[in-house]
Amino acid sequence: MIEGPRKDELLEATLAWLEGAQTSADGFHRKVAANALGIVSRELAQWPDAEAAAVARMQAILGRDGDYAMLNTALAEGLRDGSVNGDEPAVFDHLRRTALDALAIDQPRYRHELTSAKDIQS
Amino acid sequence: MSASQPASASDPAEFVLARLDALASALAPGGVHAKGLRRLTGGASLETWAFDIEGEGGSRPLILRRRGGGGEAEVFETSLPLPVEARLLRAAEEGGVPVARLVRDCAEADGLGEAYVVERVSGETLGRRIAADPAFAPARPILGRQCGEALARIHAIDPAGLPPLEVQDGRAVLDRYADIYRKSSGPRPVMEAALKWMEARLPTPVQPHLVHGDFRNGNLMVDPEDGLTAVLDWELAHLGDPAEDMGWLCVNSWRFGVTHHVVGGFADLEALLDAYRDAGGEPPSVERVRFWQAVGTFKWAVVTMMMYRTFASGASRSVERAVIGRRLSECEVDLLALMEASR
Repeated sequence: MIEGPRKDELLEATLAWLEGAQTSADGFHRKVAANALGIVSRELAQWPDAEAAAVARMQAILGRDGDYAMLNTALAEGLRDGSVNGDEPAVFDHLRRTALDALAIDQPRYRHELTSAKDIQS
Repeated sequence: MSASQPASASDPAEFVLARLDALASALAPGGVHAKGLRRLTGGASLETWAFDIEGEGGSRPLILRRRGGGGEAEVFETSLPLPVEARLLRAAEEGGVPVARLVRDCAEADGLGEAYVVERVSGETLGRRIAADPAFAPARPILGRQCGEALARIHAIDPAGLPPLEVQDGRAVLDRYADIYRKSSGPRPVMEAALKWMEARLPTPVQPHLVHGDFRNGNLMVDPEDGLTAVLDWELAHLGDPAEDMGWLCVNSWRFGVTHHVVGGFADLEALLDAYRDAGGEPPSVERVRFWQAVGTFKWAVVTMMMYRTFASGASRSVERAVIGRRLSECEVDLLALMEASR
C-alpha cells in the first residue's frame, strides 16, 4: 500500500518546480514540459466525472450500454453513416459538453466562440 | 511550430557560410564577405538562415531558404520545390504583393542545393505579439485592409504565367484531409459531425485562382507602425478557391486569444472583404468563407494528429510534438462553434 506521496502530489510538486525554475537554459522546452504535466494533473482530477457524464449521455442517445470507448466509436460511426444526426439538440449538446470538458483539461486558457454548457442552461 | 535549433559550429553553418561567402559579389553590389550567419528555424528539413553581405556598399541583410538533409519528420509532404517558390515570389512582387524581394534563385553551381536568397525584411511574425502587444496597436487597424489588398493581388496573378501548380477545390481538400484523419486517428464524433456539416455546404467550384495556401497571422511580416511588410511562406501555394485564403486567415487558432477579431485577431471580416473589393477582387460570400474556415480548422485538427503520430511512431521524441496532440481539443471546440453559429 502506497501511503504517499500520491501521484497528484508528485505531479503538483514537479510541476511547481518546473514552472518556478529560474534557469533560462532550455526555457521553451521547460514550459512545454510544465504544460504536459499540467494536462496530466487536470486529467486525473477532472476526467473521471466528465467521462461518467459522457457515458450517461451517449447511452441515452444510442439506447444501449457500453463503456466510453465503445459508445464513442458507435456515436462516431452513427454520425458518419447518418443514423445519428449531429443537429439533434441532445447530440449537439453531448458533443459540446464533451469537447468543452476535454478543452478544460488540455488547454483551459484557450479563448473560443462556442457557447458554454452552463450558458445554454440559463 | 518548432523551436530554433542552434547550429553547431562544425556542421551545416560552416558549410553554408563558405558557400555564401563565395557568392558575396552576386548577392550584393560590391559584396565581399558573408557575415553573421544564424539559423532562424529548425525542425523540418527546410532551413531558414539570416546573414549579411558586407562590402564596399555597406551591409545587405539577407535570408537564405534551403532544403537541407534530415531534420525532424516532415508533417506536410506537399511543400513546393524552392525554385517554384522563387518564381511565385517574383510573380507576387510584380503583381504588387508585399514580399521579401528575390535576390537569387540558386543554381546548382552555387553548391547550396535547392535554395534561394531573399532580402531580409524587418518586422515581427509572432502572431501573439501582432494580435495583442500594445506596441502593435498602430498596425492593427490598418492590417485588415492590407491583408485584403494583398489577397486581391495574389488572386489576380494569372496562373498561365506560373509553373504548373496543383488544382485543389473544396471537394479535393475535404477528401484529402478526411482520408488523413481516418488513417491517423480512431473515429471521433466531432470530426464526423464536422465532415457532414462541410459536405452539406460544399460551395460550387469557381475558376481556379492562385491561392497562397498558408496566409495567416504568423506568416505575415508586420511592422509596428506600417503594418504588413511581407507575405511569407509560399510553400503551400496552389490553384483553387480564393475564399480558401480568407477562411484560413479566420481560423480561431491564428487569432491568438483575440477571438472577437475574426481576421487573425486584428480585424473583422467586413474590413477584409471591403479592402479586397476596393483592390479589384470579387469578394466571396460570408458562407463561402465560413465553409473554408471550417475546412481550415479541420485541416489544423488533422495536422495536430499527424504531429502526434510522429511522436507515437518514435520518429520524434519531442515533448512538444506529443503535447501538440492535445491541441486537437481546441480545433474540435472551434468546429462546434462554427456548427453552432449556423444552427
